[in-house]
Amino acid sequence: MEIDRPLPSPITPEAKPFWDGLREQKLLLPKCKACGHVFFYPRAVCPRCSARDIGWIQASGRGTLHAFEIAYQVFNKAWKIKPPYVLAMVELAEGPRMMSNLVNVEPDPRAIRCDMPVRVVFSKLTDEITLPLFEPAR
Amino acid sequence: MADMKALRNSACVVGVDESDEIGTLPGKSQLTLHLEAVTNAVRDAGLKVSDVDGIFTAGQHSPALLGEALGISPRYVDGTTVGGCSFIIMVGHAVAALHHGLCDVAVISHGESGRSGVGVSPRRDTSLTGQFEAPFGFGGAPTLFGMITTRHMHEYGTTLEQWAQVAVSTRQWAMRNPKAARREPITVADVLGSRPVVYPFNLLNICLVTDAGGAVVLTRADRAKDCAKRPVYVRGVGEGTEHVMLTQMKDLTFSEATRLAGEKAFRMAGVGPHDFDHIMLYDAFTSGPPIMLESLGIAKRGEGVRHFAEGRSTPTGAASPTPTRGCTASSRSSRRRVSCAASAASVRCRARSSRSSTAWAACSPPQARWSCRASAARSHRPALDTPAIVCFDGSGWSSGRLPSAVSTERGARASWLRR
Repeated sequence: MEIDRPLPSPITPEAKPFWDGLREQKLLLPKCKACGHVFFYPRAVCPRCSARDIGWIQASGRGTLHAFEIAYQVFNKAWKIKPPYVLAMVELAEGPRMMSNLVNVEPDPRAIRCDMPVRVVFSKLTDEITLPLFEPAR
Repeated sequence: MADMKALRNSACVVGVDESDEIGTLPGKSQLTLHLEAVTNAVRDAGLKVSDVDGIFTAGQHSPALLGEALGISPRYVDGTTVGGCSFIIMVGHAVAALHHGLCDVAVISHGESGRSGVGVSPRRDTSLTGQFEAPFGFGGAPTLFGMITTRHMHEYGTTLEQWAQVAVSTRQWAMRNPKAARREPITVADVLGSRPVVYPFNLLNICLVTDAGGAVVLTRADRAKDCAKRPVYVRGVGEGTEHVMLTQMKDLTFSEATRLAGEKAFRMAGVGPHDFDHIMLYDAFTSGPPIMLESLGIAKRGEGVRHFAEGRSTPTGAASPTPTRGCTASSRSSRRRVSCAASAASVRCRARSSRSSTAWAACSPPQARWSCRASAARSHRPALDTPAIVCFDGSGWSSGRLPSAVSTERGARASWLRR
């Protein structure tokens, strides 16, 4: 299958469990073992308490659309998907936010609103890479 | 704790200028743009390049490289790179360095072949954008600023028409500037009818990118009298940073970096957010100036757009709904560069990545009138977070002797906006 978007690169060691989890259709998030803070993006130190003991939890895959944009053109040479498409900032039920795409929705501002409930859908790009995309949750 | 008030008016801007040309310059490298700006600004100050002993720059070229290219060995350098506001942050850094004798003549330089990309290293994704943004189609400032904007619309009911009014107002300033890239008047309907780029932005909501250089020369107040023109005293400076990755911003509709920068600059200058006659905000995107006004405490949350309603922020629309003394929120951006020449405030700095903020104020005592401008986030990353407020005294401004602005972004559309 032709890859229609940039692959995540470079995958950093601290984020590898995130990408490994997606391959198994699991959305994993870093969680501080000291203070319990769940955060994203993955990093070596807890941004709340500075502890270095970081574990992982499986997220529910549910959240809300915190903000969005509808792209009418391509902003990245490796992007092969025909516009319009929806750029999304999702706030996960566990707290952290992540960038993604809102799919299975009409790319029309009248059909999309901030804070609408969304859920993860796993999109396999290659044997190595699966991306977490989101769709409206009913 | 040391108090920055001790540095109030201790240093002055004594020279400001741009590269020889600004616009689309495929025949000039980024380094050339730097060198033209520095030599022009030093000449403007009535100094020689050999007088410069402090070099401040951000971006792809290090201050060491600029020193080498200029044939000097500076005894102080600063390469703080925190996005588009880096150069305005450096005004504060230069004030501190001058005050403590780390250098005597400081040059802040910005050169950018932003449009033509001559002598520019290929931009590379960092590990964070490459993993967590690029795979979803994000790329460039428009895909980040828009998030802030749709969230603001959701929380406060701000409308596309209100954002468009910001472009309409600032264009009226550009019409007065012979060096502006776009000088034809536009209407709200023109903005709303321009080509959709990334909702909520159409083409006329988005800034331009230009090939240009700009430089500012500062020295201590006691040396300023030896310079060619009337100095502009730096009365207050401030900076702050909050985020780099947009997802990490605590509140998308409020720039903590801007608040921090403003608070510090106001305190050092001994003024409050409502003490300005003139405010210049960098308008990279039409949602930027209103949200900066809110983050600075000049407008209430969600009400920044009111400053632009009904032509209030045009050259002829004096009023502001806040208790300022006839605040005029204007912007002078790439796409419509405004009155900077008049307000030395032009120490504009362009940006790349947002996340930090800086603010500064200058005045020639006794202060007659203020001019303030914020140069913000021209981000390449998110945005609002990089504003800078520049406050200048109007006595210099009215003297008409202040050099032209340091601008780097007039000209044409950003590469990402080309069809």
